[in-house]
Amino acid sequence: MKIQDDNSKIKYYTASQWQLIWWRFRKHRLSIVGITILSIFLIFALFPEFFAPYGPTQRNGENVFCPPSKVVFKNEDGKFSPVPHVYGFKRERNKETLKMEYVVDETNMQPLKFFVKGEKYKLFGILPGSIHIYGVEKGFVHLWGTDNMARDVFSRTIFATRSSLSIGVLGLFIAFVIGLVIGGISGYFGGWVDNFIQRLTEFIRSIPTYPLWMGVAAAMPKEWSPKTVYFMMTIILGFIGWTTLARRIRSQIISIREADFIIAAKLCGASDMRIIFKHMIPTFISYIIVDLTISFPNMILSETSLSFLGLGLRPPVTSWGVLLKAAQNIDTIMSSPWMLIPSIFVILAVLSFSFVGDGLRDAADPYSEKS
Amino acid sequence: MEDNILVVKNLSKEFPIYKGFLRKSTMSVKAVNNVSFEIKRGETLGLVGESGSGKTTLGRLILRAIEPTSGEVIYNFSDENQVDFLKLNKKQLKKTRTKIQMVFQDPYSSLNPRMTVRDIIAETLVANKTMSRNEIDERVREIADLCKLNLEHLRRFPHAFSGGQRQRIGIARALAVNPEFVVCDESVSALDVSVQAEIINLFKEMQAIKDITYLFIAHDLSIVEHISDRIIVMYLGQIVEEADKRTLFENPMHPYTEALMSAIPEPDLLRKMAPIFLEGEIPNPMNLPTGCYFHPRCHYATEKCRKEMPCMRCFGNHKVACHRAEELHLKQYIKY
Amino acid sequence: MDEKTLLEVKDLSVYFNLREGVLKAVDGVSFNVDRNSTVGIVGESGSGKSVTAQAFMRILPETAEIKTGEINYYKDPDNPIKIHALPDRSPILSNIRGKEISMIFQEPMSAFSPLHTIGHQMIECLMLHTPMTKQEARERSIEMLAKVGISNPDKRIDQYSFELSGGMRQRAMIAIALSTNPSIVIADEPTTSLDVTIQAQILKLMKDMQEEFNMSIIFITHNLGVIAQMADMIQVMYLGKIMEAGTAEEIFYEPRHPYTINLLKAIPKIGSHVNSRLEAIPGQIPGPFDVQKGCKFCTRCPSMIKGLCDLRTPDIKKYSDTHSVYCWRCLEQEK
Repeated sequence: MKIQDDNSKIKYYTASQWQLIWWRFRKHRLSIVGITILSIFLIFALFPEFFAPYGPTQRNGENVFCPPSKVVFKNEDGKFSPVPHVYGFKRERNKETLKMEYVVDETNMQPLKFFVKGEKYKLFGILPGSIHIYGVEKGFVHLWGTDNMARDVFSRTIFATRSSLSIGVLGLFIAFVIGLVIGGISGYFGGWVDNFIQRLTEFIRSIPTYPLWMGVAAAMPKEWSPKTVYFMMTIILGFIGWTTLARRIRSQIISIREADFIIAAKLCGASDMRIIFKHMIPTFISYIIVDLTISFPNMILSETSLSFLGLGLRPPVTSWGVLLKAAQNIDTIMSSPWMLIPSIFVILAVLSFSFVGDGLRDAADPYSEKS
Repeated sequence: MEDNILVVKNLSKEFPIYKGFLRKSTMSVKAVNNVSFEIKRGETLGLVGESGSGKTTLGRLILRAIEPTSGEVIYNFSDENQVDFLKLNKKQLKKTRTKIQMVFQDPYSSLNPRMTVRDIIAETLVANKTMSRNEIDERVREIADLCKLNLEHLRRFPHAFSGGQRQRIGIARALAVNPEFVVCDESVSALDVSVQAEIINLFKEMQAIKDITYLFIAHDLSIVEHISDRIIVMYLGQIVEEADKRTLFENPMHPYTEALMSAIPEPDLLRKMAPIFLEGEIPNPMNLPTGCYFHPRCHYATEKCRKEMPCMRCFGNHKVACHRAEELHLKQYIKY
Repeated sequence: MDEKTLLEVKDLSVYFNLREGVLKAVDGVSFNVDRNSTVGIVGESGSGKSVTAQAFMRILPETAEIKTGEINYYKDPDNPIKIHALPDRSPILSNIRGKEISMIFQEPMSAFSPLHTIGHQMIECLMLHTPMTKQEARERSIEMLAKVGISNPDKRIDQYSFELSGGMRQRAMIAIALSTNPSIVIADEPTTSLDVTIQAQILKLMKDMQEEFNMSIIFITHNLGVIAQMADMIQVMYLGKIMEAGTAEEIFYEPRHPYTINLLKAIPKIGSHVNSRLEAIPGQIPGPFDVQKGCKFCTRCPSMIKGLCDLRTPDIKKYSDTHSVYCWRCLEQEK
């Protein structure tokens, strides 16, 4: 930032921690890209019913493993049109292999409409609506094809965003709360309490995670509803993920406990509570946010890999892991490669979080000399 | 009213050293070792020593920023109130803290970068909950003005200021509650030369206006000489010499004081230094020498110095811990 | 060019290209270093004294560049080496670094590698710059360690830097710097992190070494006391510019620039007057990005001439061959 004229100088001098962090953060282009992508995902996760043309479990007739629809900027007469049109499909049996195959039906062309009425839904379970961002009036549109049960892969991916992100957020929240309490106690009191907690943390960290998860998954009763399984998953992820955060919080507290300005506050007669909440937490909270951002991909990947192994979420709940599980065998990948498209979401989400984490890490200490 | 604002008796601090898996404390470092002294009301007592002498620890002990291992710290405040500082409970301690304050060395790490200047100065007032918001604001403006801070800058955060201005904020914070006693721990040594003088002057002005007693800790003898009335010299956690400033510089009685003075680099071409070469370096405080702690480096050491630890002896107002104090005629540094 | 001159700095400017803008760390600095003499550069933070020295060895940070000026090294008076113009990887430059010009840093801890013994680093340096064999280099290193007053040098040579105390480490640093018999030693705040008694020893050691090895010292410090003890010639720097230059006598006894005059008044002197006020220089050192026309000191100068000092960079005023001052007030007085 240029701080050369008087106005911007005063703005800089009276800027709080968060303003300084933001000014420094926005200088990272990749982080800005990352945060944009994440915001889009967040909007998807909040309003999947609107962005998906179909429900997550809605079947579209017999169209099993239907390839992605072909989108063209032509109208029925074959002339250019700014409105995109989609071709329908005809099912034909291949004379040689005797397989059913989808052939683009040049005669059946539908204009792709935006903000169309479609299947009814309730936003957040209360607000009724039926408008979808895009759709066709007759027939079906499957931008990313359909799966083995004739469900729209695009719609399912959008819905999966909600469960995958929310499981990450909830899991991380649980991990954060546990980490804050345990790490805080460990760092603030020190002595044998600290020693005991550190050994306990090391013990938990030394348990191999996948066998543990497999054990826990096996222990989950089959009769549990997918929703219960979902919540159990968040709790498990949280209970395993807190150790790193607890250590970070502990080390942050230890490093600032002896800082001059904390001693100064103590000498001012500030109470323990005031020192913790007014002086200590604002000092290290930005670093913790960085840690949270960086551990987020871990949560998402854990969920994805667990579900992929069949240990985590189960249909009809959709998550990125569940979607990828459907693309597990070589046959599916060979014949309908579009089933792998959801992995793009996983990759984008993980990369975005890493980019944002990188930017935040550089911005977290806005008072350091390097700029 | 008692003449001494502070009486320190046999104050010690040992830092245990933890080792091994079970963190057993097998050894300890004596950072401050059986120290006794008094500070008179209204004076400035200089405390000099090199790194490892325990001067910073001592400053923090008498404010209970660190809890002492043993000893007594007694304050006599102007309201005829004698306080046995180490025996106070939390509530009494909080009240007493408004009368004793500290100005730190590093103007960068001692101010919370996330608080505005106004909030930093107001911290003691807010923590004590005796004033309304308006009263606090008024007091903050008053003290900021005294410390020559621009009142428009109170909204700003510390990152807007240079070292000298930050140190003014630190001083304003310490003086906001009208303390009677202030510990200045190397408060000017991190500042640039051209800014240092202003801060030293500010300390003196505040002393004149508010009748403050200072304990001024520093390693730079010329600054201590300038600001102090009396000077204490520390070596390895012990006081080795204590005297009036003039007496000390005209007639040092401890060989360490003599060596320390001989090493002052004076900005004067006629006073080229002739440093007395001290053998070796300051010993490891975990493994202290027998007898007088200074004997391995002392040119005047005898058999007695190697075996027996000297005790503090008074020669009028001049106190020295050296076996050979009266027979040695050490080099006068300056004649006033 | 004078026979005595060993290093000539002409109109040197070093700029840092930072995101906040261009930082003029050194802005048109000129002076000479004579053979076998000590030049002191004294200045406060932001004066550019360290950057100047880094430019001599071409060890500037990546964001910095030598914008203008010349650095000429007259090892051979008829055939000067233009240090400023040498390409980054030239063998002449690497010969200059370490062999011809060596450096003593403020923090000896970070100047030594913690992974290698002191001896290893000394021997490596010697073998790189001289045709010595390993055995000869080792012997020379032990000899050097003994010279700088390290006891048991044959044992110390196999120790790591963290095993030594601060003072010993600085001695070892000096031993390394002198082992290749350099013509110039740059000492950048070499005693700032040391205790006074140790500082006095190191300063004395440097003087003794200068006598023995016939080298020039460029001594950088913020401490006027230390500079008075060490330097023959003094350059007073403020915000990237030289304010006043002269012999130690001229600077301390006849200072002409308001900055030097006030700086000398601002430091406490032992035995001066009991409880007297110090004459402080008002204001703060401006920040590096505060753009300022004219004399850099004009914002704090008690004898600033409005309309002149704050607009135009002052010209040089020479009081003697050695004593030069950059100040409008001094120039005006002459008229």
